[in-house]
Amino acid sequence: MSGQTLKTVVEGLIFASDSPVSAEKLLPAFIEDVQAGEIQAAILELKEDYEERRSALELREVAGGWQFRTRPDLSLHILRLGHKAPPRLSRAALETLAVVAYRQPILRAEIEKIRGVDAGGVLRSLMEKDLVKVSQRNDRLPGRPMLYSTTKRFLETFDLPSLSDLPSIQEMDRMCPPAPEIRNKLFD
Amino acid sequence: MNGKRKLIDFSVDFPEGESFDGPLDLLLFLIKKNEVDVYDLPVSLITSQYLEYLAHMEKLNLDVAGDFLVMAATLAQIKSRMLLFKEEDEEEEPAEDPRMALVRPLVEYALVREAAEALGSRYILDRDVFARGSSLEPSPEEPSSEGPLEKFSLFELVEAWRGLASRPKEKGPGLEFNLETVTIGERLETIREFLLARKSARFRELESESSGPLETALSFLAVLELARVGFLKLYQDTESDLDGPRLFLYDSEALASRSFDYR
Repeated sequence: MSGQTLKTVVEGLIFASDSPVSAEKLLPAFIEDVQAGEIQAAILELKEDYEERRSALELREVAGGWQFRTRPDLSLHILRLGHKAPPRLSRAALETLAVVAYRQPILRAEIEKIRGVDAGGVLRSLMEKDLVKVSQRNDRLPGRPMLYSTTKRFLETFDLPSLSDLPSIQEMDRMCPPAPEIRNKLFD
Repeated sequence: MNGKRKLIDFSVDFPEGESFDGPLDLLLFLIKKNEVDVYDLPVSLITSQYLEYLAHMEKLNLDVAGDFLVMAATLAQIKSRMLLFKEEDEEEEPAEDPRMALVRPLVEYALVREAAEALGSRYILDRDVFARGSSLEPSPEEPSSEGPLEKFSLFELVEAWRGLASRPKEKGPGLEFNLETVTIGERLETIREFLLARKSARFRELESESSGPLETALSFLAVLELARVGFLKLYQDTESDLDGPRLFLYDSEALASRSFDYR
């Protein structure tokens, strides 16, 4: 690899990618005999390098891949310069998103039952933002109603490697300890 | 305990200008405000404060949504059942606390609120953290959906169609019979493949010099159909696009995976 280290190449590849990339996705960039495991190791080393050097960039694992992202403490400066408005997520939107994220795939009627209010408008706006999608239809119910799920964009937006990395709800455990059956129902 | 409570004024100061998102939202607010246990809900206290809020809403001339009224009825029902429940308590058969009908959805909603807060406090892309190029102006190749460009689309598309439809006349007089029929499905397929390869194109580019009015009309319909189902966007730069509107591939994944069945 003539003077280049695997780590350097991987760094360039991740930087040049538009969306988060996994070690497997980077494999075609090598004609040499390189294993996904080696790339993964290089990625983890890179991540540490950036942390150690207190770089403005962090190598973050999001949506099943890796992406360079700026450090959160730089956001004010970047927002001042940026022309794009940061995503506006109302509490209603976040709550609906939370229900979909933890219970997907889920019917609109189920979302409405949990939140106690109509979900149509919020769902539409979440779908426009590409955070929620119709993933399938429930064939067992009359009329085959649509089922909603979160998108890859959701994971990217919320800095999540995968759905299993959704934050656990510890605060609630302290507040209402004696309701495991409800908790399990919601977050199993 | 009830006697003591009656001595204190339990009227609630509702937050000015802030409305509640739904009956569950309001109930959770009251539970927090009164610092009561959700599993041992003082139904009568909560109900009276709940109704107080509905009255407060009416005073402000706000429409009390149906959801709030349904909950008011539920509260009243639970309140009345509580009286029966306490009598039954003496007997051996343990009945379920009527409040559970309210507690379950309340706890579930509280969990959702918690989850929503957890989500909202994460490092959100384009708000707290930024990936390469994500914070700056969207590139001209991908106009934002709120851009001023969409206003023009239909009108300009019709203009483009007029331009194309008038072109075959240049071929001069004479009758032409073309027995080869093109279907809209075929045009859709062609345009789709064209766009998947090119990402964007001008309407004019979809046509070859030899294509007749029928084919052009079908292209026009196919483009409208593709735009209708949301797979492409039509837009025109106000200054530079004098050549007619451009077609934009909107959702390449969906376009690639979806099959069209038009005959």
